[in-house]
Amino acid sequence: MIKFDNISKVYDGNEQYALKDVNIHIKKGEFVFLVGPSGAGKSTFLRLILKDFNPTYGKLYLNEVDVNKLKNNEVQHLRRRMGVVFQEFKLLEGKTVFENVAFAMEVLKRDSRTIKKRVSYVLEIVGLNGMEERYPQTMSGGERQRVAIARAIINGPEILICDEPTGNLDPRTSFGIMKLLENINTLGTTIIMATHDKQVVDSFNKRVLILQDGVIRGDRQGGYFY
Amino acid sequence: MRMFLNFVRDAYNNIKRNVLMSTASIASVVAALIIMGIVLVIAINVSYIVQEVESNLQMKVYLNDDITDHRVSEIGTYIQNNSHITEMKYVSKEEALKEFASWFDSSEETLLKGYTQTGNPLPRSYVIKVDNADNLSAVYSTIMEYDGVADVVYGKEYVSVLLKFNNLINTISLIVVAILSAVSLFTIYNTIKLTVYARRNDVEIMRYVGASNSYIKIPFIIEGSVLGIIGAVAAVLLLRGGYTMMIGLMQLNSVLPLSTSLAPFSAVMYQITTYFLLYGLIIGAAGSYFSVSKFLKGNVK
Repeated sequence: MIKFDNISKVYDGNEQYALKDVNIHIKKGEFVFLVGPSGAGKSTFLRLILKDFNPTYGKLYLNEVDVNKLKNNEVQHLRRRMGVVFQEFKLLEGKTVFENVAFAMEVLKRDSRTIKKRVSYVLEIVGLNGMEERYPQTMSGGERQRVAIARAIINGPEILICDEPTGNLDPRTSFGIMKLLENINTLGTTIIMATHDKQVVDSFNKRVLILQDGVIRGDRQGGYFY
Repeated sequence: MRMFLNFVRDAYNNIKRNVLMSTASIASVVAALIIMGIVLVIAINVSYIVQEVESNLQMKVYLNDDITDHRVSEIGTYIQNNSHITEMKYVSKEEALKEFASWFDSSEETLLKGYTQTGNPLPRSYVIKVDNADNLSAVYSTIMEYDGVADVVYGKEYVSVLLKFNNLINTISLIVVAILSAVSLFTIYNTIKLTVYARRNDVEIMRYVGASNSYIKIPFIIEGSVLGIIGAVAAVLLLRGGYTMMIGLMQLNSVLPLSTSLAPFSAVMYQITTYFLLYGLIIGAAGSYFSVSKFLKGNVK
């Protein structure tokens, strides 16, 4: 599904490699942890999949399509097949829970009846039913992250990209979020999650990619943090 | 339609959320438009005065005393056939004398009594009006060439100074409008840049859920246009007040030479309101468009 073919990335004005000679294949339906210290290249790895930029060398394939060659409007279509969850939630503060989640469907010009139905369904999946009219600033960190996850999965993405989704949460809340992500994964969504959280990685027994100085140092099924 | 209403609602909420920034942006549009407005009021008034003068501009064609009546009417036909001449009136020797007499009051009328029909020294003439002050000198040269024309008189120097002044004012207005347009465009551009930056999260989320660039740009463009139009309306209201006050003052101090020649209020305000609303809309929309496009370009690689 996702193939890194000898990918290297050097940012403009930088001499160091953010990623170097990465060859990775992630299959459909996999749950992959991406671990490594700060500056190891985790975010670069995720942003390449999101097509925030192109690799300096090598090719990235999504469902066998060379992502480098996509035009602007094709990139928009590609992103509609992905969901993103960030450490800092990135919710729209002026909008209610319902509006935050519905927003991702409005952008795709879905009609309001479908939006209403789908948002209720997804809020139930993430355990937030009844909180539609709340504003993010009145909610706990765990609840906010659930809103962000609801927004990320509302359009039924094939891939869910999570950048440190438990980074701002206490261990118990983190565990709840991880359980939710695991459920979403069992429904068929491929999940790639960058994390620093040793406890989370060690307890969930998934594939672990270890990045250090832009190089893949380990790729273990059912692996541990280091 | 629902989507457009959403865009408008979002733009309204954003303006409300960034009150300080929006006010600064509106203020800069108002300031630019008021300066521009003052220059435009001057330009409109100068061209109004020029038009007034043009429409009242008379040229007098004096005829030699020794030509026949037939030649007089021939010259009249030539003049009438000239496409630049809008009005023509023949003034006979008697009428000229009568007009001359009207300059004196009754006690002085005796001064002219000595002039009889035969002793009348005043020449026959045609009083004509020309369509445009620019054509005066051409008309003058043509008529001067006719046999039997003694002289053609009009305020040559006065007209040329007035025309030069009008052209100068028009050039200055154009330069001021160009400079202030650049300033307002730049201000709106920067304001929207800051609001885009303040809402980079929204923009980022929109991009990650696959929103098209136009979907992201439209609310910002609406926001910029609304700011531009609010600025324009405020500037129009202020100028309206100022102009009314000025007309009032000029009527009070009627010693000022311009007092009777100020362009009427409605003519000036109608033009300025139309220009300003269009200007506010265009500057606001363009400033936002450039700003948000640059932001998207810088972030989408």
